[in-house]
Formats: sequence, C-alpha cells, structure tokens
Amino acid sequence: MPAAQRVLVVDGLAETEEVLRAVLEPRGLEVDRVRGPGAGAFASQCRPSLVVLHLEDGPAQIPTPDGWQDVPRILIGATQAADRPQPPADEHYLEKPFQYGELIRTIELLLAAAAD
Amino acid sequence: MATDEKTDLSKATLLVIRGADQGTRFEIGTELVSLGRGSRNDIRIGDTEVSRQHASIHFSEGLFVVRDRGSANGTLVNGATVRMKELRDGDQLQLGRTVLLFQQSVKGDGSEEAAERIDLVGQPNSEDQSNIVAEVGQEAQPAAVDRTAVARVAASAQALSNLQAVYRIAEEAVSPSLSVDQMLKRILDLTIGVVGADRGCMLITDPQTGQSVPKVISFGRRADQATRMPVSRSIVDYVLKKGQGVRTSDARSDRRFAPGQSILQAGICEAMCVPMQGRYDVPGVIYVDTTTPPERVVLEGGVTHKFSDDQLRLLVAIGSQAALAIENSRYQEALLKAERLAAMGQTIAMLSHHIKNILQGVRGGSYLIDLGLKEHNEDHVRKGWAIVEKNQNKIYQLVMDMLAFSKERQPVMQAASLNQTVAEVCELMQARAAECRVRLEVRLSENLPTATFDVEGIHRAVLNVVTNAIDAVEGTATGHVIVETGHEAASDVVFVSVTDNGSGIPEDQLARIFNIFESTKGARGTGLGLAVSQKILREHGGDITVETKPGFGCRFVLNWPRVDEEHRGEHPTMV
Repeated sequence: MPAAQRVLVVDGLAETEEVLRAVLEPRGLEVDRVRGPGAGAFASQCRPSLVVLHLEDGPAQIPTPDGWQDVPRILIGATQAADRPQPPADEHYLEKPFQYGELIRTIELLLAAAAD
Repeated sequence: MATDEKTDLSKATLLVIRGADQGTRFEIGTELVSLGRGSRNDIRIGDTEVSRQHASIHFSEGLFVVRDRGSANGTLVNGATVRMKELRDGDQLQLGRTVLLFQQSVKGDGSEEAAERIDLVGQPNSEDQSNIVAEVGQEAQPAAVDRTAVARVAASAQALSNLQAVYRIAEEAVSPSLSVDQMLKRILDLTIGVVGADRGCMLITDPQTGQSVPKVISFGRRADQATRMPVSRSIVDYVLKKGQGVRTSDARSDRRFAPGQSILQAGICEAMCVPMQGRYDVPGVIYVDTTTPPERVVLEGGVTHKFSDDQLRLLVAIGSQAALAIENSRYQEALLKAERLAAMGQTIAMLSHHIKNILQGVRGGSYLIDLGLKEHNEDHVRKGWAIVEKNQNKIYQLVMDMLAFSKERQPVMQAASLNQTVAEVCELMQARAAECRVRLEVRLSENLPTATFDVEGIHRAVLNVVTNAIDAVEGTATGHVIVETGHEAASDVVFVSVTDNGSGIPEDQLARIFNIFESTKGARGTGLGLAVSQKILREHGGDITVETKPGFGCRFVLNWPRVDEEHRGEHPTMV
C-alpha cells in the first residue's frame, strides 16, 4: 500500500470523520473532512485516494473537481438510490442509517481495488 | 357538520384571524382571562397597538363578557368600541390591529330540535304528485347558480325587497364565523319572513348514507310553536330527483297525507319545496309551509293560496345560495383536513430525519466502543463514549425544543443577570466550538443592569442561536462567532447578539428561517431551533431580528424590554 493514502469526507455528520479517523489513522491513512463549498479548494491542494460523499447536505450533484474523475467514492444518502443507472465499479452507495463496519469494509475494498 | 361539538357553554375559544399571531387559538374557560401585550397576560398579543393591559374576559352565568382595561386604543366588538360587552358566538373582537374570532359552542344549533319536530310522512318515491300546482326548475343549466330565477324575481313587483332578501341571505352564506348549521338556521329564519311562510325546515342529505335528514327548523310568528311539522316525503323525493322547486296545493285534500294523520288539526294550507342546487349536486331541500289554525279552517273553509310563483322562484334562488354555502363549507373542511395531514406528515418526516442522524451518530460511537473492547484499545472506547454522550445531548436538546414549542408553558419571569445566562451558554458551547474549529468569542457588556426574563427560556433561545452560528461557520478555515450582550438605554431594551462570519442567508430563504421545520442545515437541523427561540422572545414581548449579507455572515439579535409591567418602577441595579 503506498504511503499517505487520503480519505476525504465531504459534508455529513462530524461522527463519520471521527470514527474513520480513529480507525484508519492508526493504519497510516489520513482522514480529512470538508464542507461542500470547500471541496474544490481542498482538491486543488491534494488528490484524495477516496471520497466519502454525503448527498443530502449539499447539492444532489456535487461537481467532481478536475483530476477526481477516477477517484473511488462512497455516496451516503437518506434514501435508496433505486433509479441510479449502473454505477461505476469504483462507486458505492450506502443508505442511512448505515453500519460503520460496512463503511470501513467498503473503504478497504475500494482502496484495495484501486491499488491493484 | 359541526353537530358533534359538545354544547359546553363554559368553554370558548379565541382564534386570531388577523394580526401577528394569526392562526393562534386560545382556549378560555370560567377563569378570568387577561389580554394584552405585557408578558403577564394570560393571552399575550404581540401587537404594538395593543396596550400592556388591554382587556379581560370573564365568565358569568353562561356568558363571556369582555371588559376594556383602560387601553389606549380601545376594545372593539364587531367594529364598535365597547367598555363592556357580552360576547356571542361569531363575534369579532379587535384589540389594536389584531382581530380575534370568539367561538362558543351554542346550545341547540337546531338539528336535534329539527329531528324531533319534523315528521316525514308518506311513502318514499311515491309517484303521487297530483297536488303539485307549480314547478320551477333550474332549466337548461342545472349545475349553474340559478341566475334566471333571481332575474325573474327582480322583475316582479316585489323586486326590491326580494333582492334585499337574496342579498342578506347571500351575506349569511359567506359569513365565515358560523358553523354550517347555524348559518342554515339564519338563512331559514330570513327565508320564512321573506316568502311569508309560517314554518320551514331544511333536509340535508348525509354525504355518507345518502339519507335526507331534517337539519334545521324554524317557526314564524303566527305558527303554533308546539306543533310538529309534517313534511311530505314524496314531495322531497320528487324535488331531489327532478331538481325542481314545487308549490303544492292545500294539503288537506292531498291523498298522500292519510286521513288518520293530523293534517287537518295542523291545518296545512300550502307548501313549497325547493332543491338546494349547488355546483355539483343537491345537498338537500328547503321545505316551507303555511298553517292555518283548525278553527279558521272550519270557519273560512281554508285560506286562499298564499304562495305565488314569484315566491317559489325566490325560494329556488335561496336554495341555490344555501347549497353553495354548504358546498363551500364542506370544501373548506376538506382543505383544512388535508392541510393538517400535510403539516403532520412534514413534522414526522423532519423529526424522523433528525432522529435518524442522531442514531447514525450513536452507531458511530458504539462501533468504536465495540472495536475498542475487542481490541482492548481504551482510546477507541474513550472516543466512542464521547460520541455517544454528544448524541445523547442532541436527543436532550431535541426533546427540550419540542417541549418548549408545544407546551403552553408560562415563562417564569424573574430579575436576573443576562450576562450570567449568556456566559453559561457560551461556556457550554466552547467545547463544541473547539471541536468544530470555530473561535467563539464572548463580549459581555460591563454596564448591564438586571433584566427581567425567563432564565430557562432565554438560555434555550441563546443556545439555539449560538448553535446555528457555529454550524454556519463549521468547516471553514476562519470560523468566528461573537456573542455580545448590551442594553439600549433610550428604549430600555436588553439584547444578545450573535454574529458569525459564515456564508450568510440567501434572500429567498430569509423569510422562512423562523418557520417551524424549515431547516437550511440539512442533516444537522431540526427546523425547531429558530421557531422555538422566536416563540420564547415573543413571550418576553421582544423578538429576534436578523441582518445578513450573503458571503459575509449573519447577525442575530435577541431583544426584549428590560422590565415587564409588573417590575416597572423598580430601581435598576447594576450587576
């Protein structure tokens, strides 16, 4: 695993960041959280390895900053996203209330897939 | 219809139909109720033209009486200034710019009486209508309001008084303050006078069962009040079926009324029955008749036909008016019910959303605790526990906000130090601010005199506004919230201001921020905070104002009169 993988949490509850930080940082990952409007500024500084995006806080379609197109992402929403077209392989959807174990397993899976 | 209202005369309500508190309903009972702008009133009215102690209402011998308490702008009942007046159901009470509708369940709205005193005689759907001597229908346009009937009435000799009658009835029909049954009763009273009938009743079709049931009954001056009113079922059925108004001949010779029945004794001469032709259907019929005392029947051999075709047409027009009024009232009822259900749905959606977020937070905490216990990692347990505690506090705040909004709690006004209350709130919020990387700055005024306020309420209001401010700047690089206290000597108003350097509130959202369950905060907002805070400030005779400039943040100011009327005159002391 390459050094300093970054997980970026966009919007949502502070708890998501707190739990991910507590679990992932001891494993050598960095965890950051930004509010929707700050995501672009953050992106210009560094490219995250994975984004955890809360859908309901910001606009439904969060614009993907340049260079983020192939960043794996986890979308967290309030409702079942049934009408979504075939999601790309590096995208995963979680419906609230979700289990943190599932979120962390999904992060591990997506990061492992991206590393291959 | 409003017949299910219990006829408890010692209960009434005041509904604000105009003014700042529009839509608020106050229950009044047998206890003396004070009304005014001051916070000690039982009914507080947030209207600057209302005096601090404006009026009172007391209950005496089945009547509610309003009394002016020397108000500056006076107390008005139905537009007239009064010093003291008995209130009747439907009266409009005006204090300042605020208008309150007085509603009291009235004993006997007529429907029980109507059911008891009307005999539906004859066989349903009998084909025998031989005694019908004239018919007036809605002709080609049964669904339209019968303007032709009105026009023909107008052309008659009695034109003017008939038009006046139609106008007065139309006025009753749009009167918003009456129950349907009361309104129908008033229409029927007017109708009897105007068509020269002795008795009248309305039979209304129950929307559920389709049965025509007597609803209201009215007796003219000449009628024997003790008698029961016979109504020919076959005529009613005929009118309902054909949608036509009919005039019947002397009922004594009417074969539908069997000889054994006491028609002769009752002495019916003539009857008219018209459909209540609404826009969509016929909700009922109006039935009027004339009676002649039996002795006069014997002596004079009956009285000449009293009802004319003009009167029949007039009655048809009145029937239409009454039908429209019934339809309108049913529509209003349906609308109100739909709105109530929608509001309830919105409330539940908002609450479940918020509770789901708290649950999500608790799951985060318990996940860490579980992990920590499995891995013997005390650090995880500690972090998890902190998250659980934080969410426990969120539930507490949610419940307290819900209580503050829903219960009719009288604020406990006391002389206290505003600086101390604000300092306590800010101390509580420092940890939250630090966690969100927000600088929370407190600037307490050094010369703040003691103020009168409900400590618990103001604590909650300030807490809500400060929480919002922190949420507004959380996640920005230079989040900064300033909480200030102050006193405006000229107006003797104390204030707490909360300023943030967040993104501000867009103009289109500004008007909605105080609405209950309106939240712009997504996952974090309950939509309760500002609504509750505003309610608290208004209980203090004050308000919350907001200044905002999109991109430059917000400034919320909570202000209220430093002393209320009960504490006025006390010397202000410095804290």
